[in-house]
Amino acid sequence: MAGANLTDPAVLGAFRQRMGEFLRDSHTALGGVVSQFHAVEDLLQGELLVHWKGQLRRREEAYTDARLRYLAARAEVDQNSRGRGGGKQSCDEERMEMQKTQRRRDEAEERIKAIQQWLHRLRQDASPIMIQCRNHDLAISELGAQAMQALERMAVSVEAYHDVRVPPSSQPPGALP
Amino acid sequence: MSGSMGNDAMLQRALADLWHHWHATESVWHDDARDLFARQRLDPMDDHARQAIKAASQLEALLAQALRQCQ
Repeated sequence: MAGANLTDPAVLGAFRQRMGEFLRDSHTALGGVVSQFHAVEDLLQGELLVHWKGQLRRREEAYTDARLRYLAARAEVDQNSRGRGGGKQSCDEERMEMQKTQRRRDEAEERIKAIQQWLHRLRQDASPIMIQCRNHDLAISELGAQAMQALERMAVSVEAYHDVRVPPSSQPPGALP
Repeated sequence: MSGSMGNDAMLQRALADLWHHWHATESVWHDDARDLFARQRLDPMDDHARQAIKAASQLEALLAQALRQCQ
């Protein structure tokens, strides 16, 4: 492409600058997508899964304790109903507490299952999309660099063309020949 | 995901801005040279950028869904 096809090198320079800004923004955006993917994966794997596994252990223990308390209370109520003492009349409170701890344990199990499913989905579905973004980023950077070089070459050609066209009579007085 | 502009939107805006400035150069190019530069240099970048916007949008939606369901 001939530089002489352009009539205003300043416009060319301004567009080249704009393209540089586009390339920076594009790289920032697509780099951001890749970072976001890794951040979410790390959050799920390194924080949320660890957190909920810890919660599951604690909640399982709480449920086991509550169940033992309920069974003891029920045995006491059974004994009482057989006329063997004046102990507890009801084990409803212990049963409700056991059910509550059971629900909390189930919730932790569901959370872990959801996190593991999402980790799998991120690796199966999201990872290939993230790789696409990275490849597009590389391609845009490469094509952009080529375009910037082409614009630079054209700018040099245009400047040379304009220099050639400046007649000697237009030089300011006292200018060196 | 944080409420700020998504990466897909950022790239879309940057691409629109680039084309806007490209159109502003119209008066200083000879048509043939302008078409050739667009075809050889800008169109392939535009293709990649558009596909990247679509991919980034899909990925951000997936990540947002994962966070909603796991946090």
